[in-house]
Amino acid sequence: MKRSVSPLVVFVLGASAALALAMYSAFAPVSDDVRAYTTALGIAGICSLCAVVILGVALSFGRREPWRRQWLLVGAGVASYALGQIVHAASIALGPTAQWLPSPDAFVIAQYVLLCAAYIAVAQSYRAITDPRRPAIVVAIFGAVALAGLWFGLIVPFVLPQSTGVADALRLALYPAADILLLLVPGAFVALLLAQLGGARFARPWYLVAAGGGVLALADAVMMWMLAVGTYLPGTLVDFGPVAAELIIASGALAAARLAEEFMVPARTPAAPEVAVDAA
Amino acid sequence: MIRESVVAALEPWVGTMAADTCVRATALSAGKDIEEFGREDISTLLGNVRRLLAPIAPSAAVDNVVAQIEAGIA
Repeated sequence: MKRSVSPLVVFVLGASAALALAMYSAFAPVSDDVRAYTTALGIAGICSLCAVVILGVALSFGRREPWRRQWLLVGAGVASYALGQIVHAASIALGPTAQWLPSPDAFVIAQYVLLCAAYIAVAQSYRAITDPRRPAIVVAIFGAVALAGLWFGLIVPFVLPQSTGVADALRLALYPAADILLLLVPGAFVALLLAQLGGARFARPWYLVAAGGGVLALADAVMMWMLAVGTYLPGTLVDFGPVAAELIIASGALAAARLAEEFMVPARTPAAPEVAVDAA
Repeated sequence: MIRESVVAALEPWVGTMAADTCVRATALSAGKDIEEFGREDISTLLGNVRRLLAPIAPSAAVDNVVAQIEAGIA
């Protein structure tokens, strides 16, 4: 571990930037295109900052440290989301000439996969001192209920009637299904697993990552619902839910860095030689 | 005395249950009751503590906690 930054500093800076941009996007008298572009650009900037912070923390751990691999997965996920937002901003700026750009959705889904991989890595690292049976049963029931809710609450009433074919329906259902299967279920599993350890300090940063994944899924659910009922407007406050999620995840990485910093041995400075004052 | 000292050093980091289980499992693997656990078992215990912490904490933290345990039972 080489260095650390206060989680509070990143929260204050990131949240201030997000709030300023949100206020601008929500209230500035600009066209919808400009609103969508500035929002995507601002989100890309904040998420890039979060990714740099998390990857910096991950790389500050030694090559063989388990935390390095786990935080690299989380950092790569947030970086992927940031890249998706950059592509989204570029596609708005370039307009119809941006057909060659990859879909931002691919980057966002990549984040879900990478976060899920991080959750699995964390759960594996705690397998010697936790009992996975009860958390597994609880999240299996929760996942089944959530998938049933998704099917009967969103897909049957909204997605199927509005989609133009099977591929379109799958595309529309991809996000909420990924939210449940890649973020909510594994994140809740990790949180319940670590809850068995009480207030164990080594586990605390992972609660923040699990909470961030939960906020991300919740923000997606709200956005999908608004899209389904036709009330979603790009560049408005609802777009900032994922930003809050990335900030929570970044604060988890900084909490881990701060924890590791507690064990850094301060460099010893040579003691000043004693001087005989009254030698004379 | 040894058990209390080890649990006290581990508890903030891994929780009471895991800390207590670590000591009990070490005693069990040595074929002893927890009350019979003595200084001759400390090196095995510290090895188990390292194995317990290695996947979940930075190596500097593991070294620090082990040193804290050694100081506590010295």
